[in-house]
Amino acid sequence: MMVVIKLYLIAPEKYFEGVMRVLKKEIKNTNTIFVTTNKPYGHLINTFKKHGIPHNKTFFIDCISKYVGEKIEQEPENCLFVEGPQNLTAIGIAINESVKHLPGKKTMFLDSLSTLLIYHDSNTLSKFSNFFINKMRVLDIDTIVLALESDINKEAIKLIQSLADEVKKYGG
Amino acid sequence: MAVDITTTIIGIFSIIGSVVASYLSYIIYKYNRLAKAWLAVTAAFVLIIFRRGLGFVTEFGFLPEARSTLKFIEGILLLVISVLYIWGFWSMKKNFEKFEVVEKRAKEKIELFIRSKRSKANYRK
Repeated sequence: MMVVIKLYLIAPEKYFEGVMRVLKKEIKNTNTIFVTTNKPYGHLINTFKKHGIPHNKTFFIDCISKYVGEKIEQEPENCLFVEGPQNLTAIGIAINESVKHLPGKKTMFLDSLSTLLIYHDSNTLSKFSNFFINKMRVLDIDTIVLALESDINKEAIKLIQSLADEVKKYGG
Repeated sequence: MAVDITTTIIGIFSIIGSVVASYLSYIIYKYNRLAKAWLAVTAAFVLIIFRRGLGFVTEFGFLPEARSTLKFIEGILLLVISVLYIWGFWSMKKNFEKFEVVEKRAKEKIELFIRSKRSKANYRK
C-alpha cells in the first residue's frame, strides 16, 4: 500500500474537538508515534482515555512537558521527553530513532506545526518539514500533520500543503 | 621589498579567508540555529579580521608612535577571540551531548515500549 501524507487544517476555535476527531478517525490498529508540541503527555493520555481513543500501540514524543518545567518522577514506558519545541534537531533525532526501532507498519502524528511556528521562523520550519515529510515517505510511514487553519498563509504550511497527498479542513 | 609584497599578499589573503570564514560561520548558524552561542564563534572570526588589520598597521609601521598601544589591543583581541571560541565550542559540545542522550534514550524507550506491549499481550493470553 502507498504511504499517505495528510495535512489537517483545523479551525482555532474548534482545535481540540478537531484533533480528537482526527485521532478517532486516523488511529488504526498499527503502531503510532505521536509527536506533541502543545499538550503534555499526562494531559494527552487522560484525553485519549476520556474520548475512548486507543493508545496501547501509541508511542509519544513529548516536546512540551520538560519545557514548561513539569516534574517527571517516573517516566512512562511509552513516552520520550524531549527538551522543548525550540530544539528541532533533538525532535528530529527522537523521531528518527523512534521510527527506526519501532517494528511493523507505523503511523506518525505531528501535533502541531502551528506550535512549532511559534518557536521557529517559517524558513527553518519549512526545511524541517521538508526533511520530516520526505523521510516519512521514504520509510513508508503514513503521516498526519496537524496545523491551525489560521496559519494557512505561512510559508511552512504552504510547503506542507504542496508536499501532502491530502489536505483536509476541519471546522473552517 | 620582495618580502613585504609576499607578506602583504599573504596578509590580504588571510583577511579574505577570515571574511569568508565569518560568513560561512554565520550561514551555519542560520542553517541549524543549534545554539545562540555559535554566534560567539562567528564574532571570533570577525575579530580575527580586525586583528589581522591591526597586524598590517604595526607590521608596516603606519603608526609608529602607537605601536605599543596597537600591540596591547592586538593582545586583548587575541584573548577575547580565545574566550569566544571556548564559549561557542563549549556550547556546541553540550548540544551534541544532548543529541547523543536523546538518541540513546529514544532507542531505550522504544525497546521498553515494545517489551511492555509484549508482556501485556502475553498476560492477556
